[in-house]
Amino acid sequence: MFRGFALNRRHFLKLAPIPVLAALSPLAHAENAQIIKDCRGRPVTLRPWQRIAVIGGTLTETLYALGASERIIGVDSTATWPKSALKEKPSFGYMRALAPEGILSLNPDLILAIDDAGPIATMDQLIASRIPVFFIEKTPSPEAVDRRTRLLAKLVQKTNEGEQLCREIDTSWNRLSQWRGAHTGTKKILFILHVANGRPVVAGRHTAAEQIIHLAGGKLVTEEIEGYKTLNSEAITTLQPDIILTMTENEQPTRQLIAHDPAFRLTPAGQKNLVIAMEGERLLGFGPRTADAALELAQILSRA
Amino acid sequence: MISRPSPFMVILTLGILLVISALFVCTLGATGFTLGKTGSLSLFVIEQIRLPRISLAIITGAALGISGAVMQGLFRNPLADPGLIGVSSGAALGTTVYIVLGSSLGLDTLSRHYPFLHNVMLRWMVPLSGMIGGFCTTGLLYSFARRQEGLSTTLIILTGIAIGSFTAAITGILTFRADDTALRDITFWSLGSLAGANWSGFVILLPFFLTALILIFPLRDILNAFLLGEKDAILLGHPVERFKKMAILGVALATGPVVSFVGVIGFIGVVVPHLVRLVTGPDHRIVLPASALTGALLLLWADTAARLIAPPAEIPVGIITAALGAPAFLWLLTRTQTGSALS
Repeated sequence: MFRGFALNRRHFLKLAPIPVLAALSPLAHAENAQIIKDCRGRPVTLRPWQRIAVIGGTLTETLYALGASERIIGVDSTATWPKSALKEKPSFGYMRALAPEGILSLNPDLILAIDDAGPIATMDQLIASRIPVFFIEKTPSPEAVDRRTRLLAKLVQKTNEGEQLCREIDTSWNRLSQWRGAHTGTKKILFILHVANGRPVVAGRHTAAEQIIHLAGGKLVTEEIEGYKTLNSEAITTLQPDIILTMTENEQPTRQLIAHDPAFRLTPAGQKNLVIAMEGERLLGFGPRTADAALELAQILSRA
Repeated sequence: MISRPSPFMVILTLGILLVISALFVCTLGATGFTLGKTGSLSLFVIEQIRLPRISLAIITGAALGISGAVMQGLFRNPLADPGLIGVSSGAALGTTVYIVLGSSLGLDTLSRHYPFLHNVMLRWMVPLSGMIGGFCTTGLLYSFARRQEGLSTTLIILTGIAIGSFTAAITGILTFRADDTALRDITFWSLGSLAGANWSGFVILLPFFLTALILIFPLRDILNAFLLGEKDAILLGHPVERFKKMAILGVALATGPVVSFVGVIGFIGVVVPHLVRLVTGPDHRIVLPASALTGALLLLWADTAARLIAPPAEIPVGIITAALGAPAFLWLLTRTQTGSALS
């Protein structure tokens, strides 16, 4: 009932000034008229935003790469790259456990959120606050990286920088396909996200890890699993991975696990101690550095 | 004899404290507070974020506090808390079932064709499944603990332990099956937070809370008779069996829904009745309303701390109540030489 009231008032305020503006100044109206839709189909009027609250590490990384970091007023705890981001910007916590007032207290003029930011109640309240909330798709694919980069560049009026960045990213994708054309052979890969209570949490299908491994020309051994799940020892011996891929952040526990768990000794990866560690956001974020990470992974795989 | 403050004064003081606290806390927050300035954002923050959250904190704290008092009276055990009748572990099971299996049950895909249904499900399925889980578990426990001669409190405690372990086991199996995102969601739910408070949630919870109060308040005289023992209560002519049913139903109605909405918030249910009895003595005519008010006060301030400690981020309030509640409980124990004042 309170929400209904707020909604009505919001619509009223939104509608009221537009005819007035249009009548007084057709030019101003034309300038303001550019409306873009976010990945949920919600329209947002394009403006030169200066105070952007960013939810989603990939979005923060892309804005930094576009040279728009000074417009970011706050990030969430997944903004792991560049490392300076979490030091110089206030953090409003984990992207799926956000509270509305913290974000609003930074007085943002735009809230940029990756599609699975939450909880839903918080996102509802942010939307109801009348500060524009713009959701961006999280699809892990090369095409989506291009789409996200161009969209973010448009949102911060850095179209030229956006095109430049996309060109660089495309160069890496092209080099990747050239490399894969010249090198054959598919390595079986086990991706360990982290080690929880002495057990590996591994990536299955429909994950960013699966996508990046396919792009780099590897085969994920845990395709029967959906999402990221804990794996038991016996399963590891039947999977027989050639290589174990993990994130630099969790390299130490992963190496310890492989050294101490007898199941890994029965796999090619364990016998040769073949563990590759790459920085998490670069490898899985599907942001500006992911193409380069895929290329590097492909090169390591064909040499291993 | 220790002189006790009059019941009226206790309730009045607590009531005034609660109103003043609620008004004061309303001015605190990461966005600050500017009186007189009707800037649309600060008005929105107060009207749509702080007020529903404060209201939710008050009914949650009150529900946990009064439920704790009823449970300790019913079981004549100073350690009894609302969790004893399985309502919290059942709620945990219910929410876990939905968080882990929701997508694979096909509910999401089904509702995607009906946008309205999908919107409703996204927002309300977690608390709804928590409520269903909580009520079913309590119902199961009740049917196990019921005998021809009536409901045995000892049997309730023992059945509660068994059912609690069993639901914990199922929750464990589910978390083992859960993917990483679901695990994080479960962790944050189990830490308890009022961050998702909004008016629609409050409006849904309020009828449950009020019904529970209507069920619980008439029990005050029997709770007093129960202090003498179950047999004495029967000899005094109280309808003891009906009382037990009402008490369990009331506690389930008070705690099940709030736990489903805000997650696990520890120690309010156990510590608050003790704090109250230290001041008022064991008379349930004062202990019940005073526990509700004290629970509301404590949770209100704990949640304010959760909001203010690390802006613009937040700390789950369950961590704060446990961090403050556990030492407070120990202090209570050292204060009483014989421990008799606790029971």
